[in-house]
Amino acid sequence: MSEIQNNPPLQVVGASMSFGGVKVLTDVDVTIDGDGIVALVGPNGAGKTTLFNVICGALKPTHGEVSSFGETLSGLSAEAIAGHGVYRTFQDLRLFRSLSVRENVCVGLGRTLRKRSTIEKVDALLEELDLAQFEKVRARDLAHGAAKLLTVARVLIHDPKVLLLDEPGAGMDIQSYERLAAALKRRTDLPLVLVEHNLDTVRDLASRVVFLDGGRVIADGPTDEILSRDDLAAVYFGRGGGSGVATDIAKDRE
Amino acid sequence: MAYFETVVVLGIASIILAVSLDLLIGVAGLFSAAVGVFYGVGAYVASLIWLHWTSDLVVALIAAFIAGGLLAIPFVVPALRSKKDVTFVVASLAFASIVGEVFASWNSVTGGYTGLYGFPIATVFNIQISPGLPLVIASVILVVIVIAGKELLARSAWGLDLRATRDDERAASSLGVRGSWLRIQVAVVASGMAALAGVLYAAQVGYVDPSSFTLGESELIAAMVVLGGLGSFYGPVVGAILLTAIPAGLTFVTIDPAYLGLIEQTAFGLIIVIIIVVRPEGIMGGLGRVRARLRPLEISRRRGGDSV
Repeated sequence: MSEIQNNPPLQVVGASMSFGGVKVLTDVDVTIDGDGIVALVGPNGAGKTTLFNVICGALKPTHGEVSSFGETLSGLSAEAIAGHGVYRTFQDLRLFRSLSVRENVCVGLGRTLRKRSTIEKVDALLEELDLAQFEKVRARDLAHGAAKLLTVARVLIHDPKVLLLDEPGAGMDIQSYERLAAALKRRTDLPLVLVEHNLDTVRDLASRVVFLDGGRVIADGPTDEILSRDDLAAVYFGRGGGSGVATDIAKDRE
Repeated sequence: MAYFETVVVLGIASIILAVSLDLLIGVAGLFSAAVGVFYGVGAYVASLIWLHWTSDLVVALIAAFIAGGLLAIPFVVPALRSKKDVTFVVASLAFASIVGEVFASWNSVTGGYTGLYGFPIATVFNIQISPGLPLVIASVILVVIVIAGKELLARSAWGLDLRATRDDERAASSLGVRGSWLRIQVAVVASGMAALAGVLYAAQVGYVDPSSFTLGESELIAAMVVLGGLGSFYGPVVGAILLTAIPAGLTFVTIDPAYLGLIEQTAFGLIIVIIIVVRPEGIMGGLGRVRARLRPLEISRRRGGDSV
């Protein structure tokens, strides 16, 4: 236990980031201890996706350190961070559009690609996420729900040590969402962080919420507790109403 | 019959060039205008080896592949530092001009505009591979190896990662794929492949000078790949055969010599335009996609909106 505490699956210490003088992250500390799923929540522009990009090496923070199981990730390239077992999905899918569903899942597997065990693992994962029937379909021809599931299959095949999901449930049909939720809940050993706008999804999946606003962590605790706080709801739905976030959420709930 | 055999061997050289360019464009998404130059590198390397060292064909092929691959490094490494595809095209143009100039001016090695000639007939295990049937057979063996090699590469894990990088480099790198490194590798392999074609050229023609390895040659190869259909198995092969056969066939038509060049060029250009109009994705291109489109509609139909 103490080893986990000393070397947590993911630790962000004092991360700050600014774009042309505008601070998007200020002194963010987050520790993911691998106990349940953690949701990053906050209004648009709170810095959730920026934090993901900082963790995964797509952006270099102005200050701060990111580490995973005691190994520093800061300054590493995106592919090196994947090499440490930290994987992510993208809000805008970023599938390999001209490749088939199966090929999408097989990217980055290298020499293990033709191994029997790998092929069986790919088969099982496609089956689990309801993608087996589409395995030969090009990613660009997939419906949205299946495309979302594919982004998750594409990272799960690598047996990540830490997984970051950027809006995994957004815009999904019910069946696809249920497949996804079941697959995530089944992986209790996998430290999982998600960025999510839809609070129903957050309640369904996450046991802990880290609430960001204006690039700062303003609350961090159990999901029920955080989501029932009125002050945070006011931030989330726009102070006094009428902010873009509230409409986004209204849209999500339709 | 010598004319026919020359057309066949140079046609096969064109197939190798088209396959090499398709590995770059179709698999890696990199467009290079320097293919013709690597063709020349192979021809010069083979000529030099045959003139000064040994008449062995296999040695010349191996040396040409290595030379072509190594020479690609100073060109692709800086060109690929920029993530923009256009930079790669421009860099390949610049590289083609530089190497073309070297062919023409490095008199002590390349013979300048006079070129290199008078080298012995190539051999394999002391059997002479003279222009004509023996060289045709050797060329067929080589082109089969090249096509098989390209297909193996394109279908390997390496090729898959390259195609993924072509589609979305950022997503590929998030899965641990080192895109820049793969692109350098593919450019080296494709350049080595193009140099193999040059060896056939030198063996068939028996004479190498700068005029055969120009940007015009690169353009013609690009036309072969695009007309045949990018990234398809038969595309570059069909394109290369067609664009070799058309001009060759036109020479058999009896035309007043005064208009020969004009009519040949116009007919050639017209045929290309017609193919582009009739089959914009190339002759062999898009066939697979048509089949995909005929699959049940439910795959592409979007289900409902946000309902969670």
